[in-house]
Amino acid sequence: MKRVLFFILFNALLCLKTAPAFAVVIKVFPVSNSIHKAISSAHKGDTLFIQKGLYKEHDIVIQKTLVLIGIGFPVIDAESKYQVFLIRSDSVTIKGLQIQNVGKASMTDMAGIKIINAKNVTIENNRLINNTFGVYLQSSALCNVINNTIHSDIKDELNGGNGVHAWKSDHLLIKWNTVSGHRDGIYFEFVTDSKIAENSSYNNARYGLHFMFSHNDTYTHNTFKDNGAGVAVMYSKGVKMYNNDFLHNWGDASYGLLLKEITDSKIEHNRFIKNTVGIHMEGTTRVDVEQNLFQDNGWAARVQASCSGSNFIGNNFIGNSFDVATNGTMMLNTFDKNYWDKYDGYDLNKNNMGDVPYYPVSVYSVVTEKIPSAMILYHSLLTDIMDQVEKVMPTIIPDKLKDNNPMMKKLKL
Amino acid sequence: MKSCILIFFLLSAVCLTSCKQQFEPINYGHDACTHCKMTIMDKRFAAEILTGKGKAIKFDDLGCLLKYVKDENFKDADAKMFVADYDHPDAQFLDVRHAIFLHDETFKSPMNGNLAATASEKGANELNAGLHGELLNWIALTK
Repeated sequence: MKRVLFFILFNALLCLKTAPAFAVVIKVFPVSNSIHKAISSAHKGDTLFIQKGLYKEHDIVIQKTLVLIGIGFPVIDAESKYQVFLIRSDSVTIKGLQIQNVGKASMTDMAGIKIINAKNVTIENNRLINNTFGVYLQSSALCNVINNTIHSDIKDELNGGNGVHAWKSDHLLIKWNTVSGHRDGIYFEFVTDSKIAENSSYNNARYGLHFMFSHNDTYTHNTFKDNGAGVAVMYSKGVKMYNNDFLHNWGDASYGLLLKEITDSKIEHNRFIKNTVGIHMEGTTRVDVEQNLFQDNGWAARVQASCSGSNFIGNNFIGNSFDVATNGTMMLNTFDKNYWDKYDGYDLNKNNMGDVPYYPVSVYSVVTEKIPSAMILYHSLLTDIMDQVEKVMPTIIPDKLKDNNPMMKKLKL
Repeated sequence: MKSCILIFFLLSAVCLTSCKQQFEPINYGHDACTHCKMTIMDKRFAAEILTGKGKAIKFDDLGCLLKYVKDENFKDADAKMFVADYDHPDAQFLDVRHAIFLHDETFKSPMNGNLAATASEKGANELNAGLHGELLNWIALTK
């Protein structure tokens, strides 16, 4: 019996020796190149606690699974010349760091945290300040970018980078981030099956959110505010946008939401408030726009004749200068059961829907679509007369674009 | 005499308002691409068509210009086309007929046209060092 016990114990000891060492916790202090040294001496699975202080380090390549945790937001400064983290290993976690002053180069995109060909990487609770690109994901999958503050004060907006930039990746989760002052707040190109939720993107030079060729992605509960040109969604299929706020994107080429070549997508329960154009649609196919609020926009929706099979159902249109504009007479899209505050018909059969259809394209919106400078006469006596004449005898407005069942009361969304 | 003066004024007014075919600088960060509607930001890839009547049509990517010409069936014998010099984006735009284009996926141009224009073949070859791009001229591009 004793011998058996001894044998077991001996074996256990052997196991301990041959098996890889247990993950250790390493403390890193702000002395020269300390992060570099700690990473090169660490083993797979180790945790590095980076202590408070200023670290002037750059091009830190992580090629093994490590957890980096900052204590009291240690600052890693790239002196406006270099980039900081390059993650090339799976399952790396970076938490609680402040990464600042990443440099700029013409051929490489320099980023605070760059993830290349990696899976399961988590970037959480970091501050990325004044970087060209904030978090940059390339050919990566299943990565989480959560609760980071990404901000840039750099005024050279033309050459600036994006806050969160993802390229050829899939299954990403971008959540609870605040992005401001970059070129595009969140940028997706060739990114599929990903989720962008509860982020706030504002004061970016171009778009708050911009994605191209990115299929089957979901965007919920985000706020896009005061961006140079709003939000652009292009050349994608299966886009789901729910409960987002598109606020105050004013300017000549600004859109709350710009849709170009979008197929089989859903835009529901969003709020478009105070934009030059709420939604601009071009070349879209089968896009459902349901239960959204369009309020105080210049144009609530601009639906180009190249769109087909798109449905506007159960939306509220309140206080917009123009409800709908279009550039042709063909209309292959449906408007039904929306509430239009400009509707002045009666509901004699008391079914809560107006008895005569509502034509949301006003005559002046047709005129300004063709001659934009005619806007200078908007709200003049002449245009009011034109509007009234057109109501009695429609000749200019596209008669196919109408809502047959305009709601009498504002919808509860 | 009076009618002479009147004719002179009318003529000069016509001259002043007549359209000149003159390159219109792109206001980066404000002007939108005519084809893809994106705001033009990247100086290295911008392009412009000047119609015979002098209207400037601006693009953020040469790929957009090529698509626009194709989609809209743009045929204007007097039109001039210009493209930004990749190496000197702040300098004068190049006439597309004299530019040499380098096509390489790593450029990541705004709309994935991925065409960089240079003034000479020498410049294009220098740019191609380390890349495996394809050198093209305007005739090859529009084929």
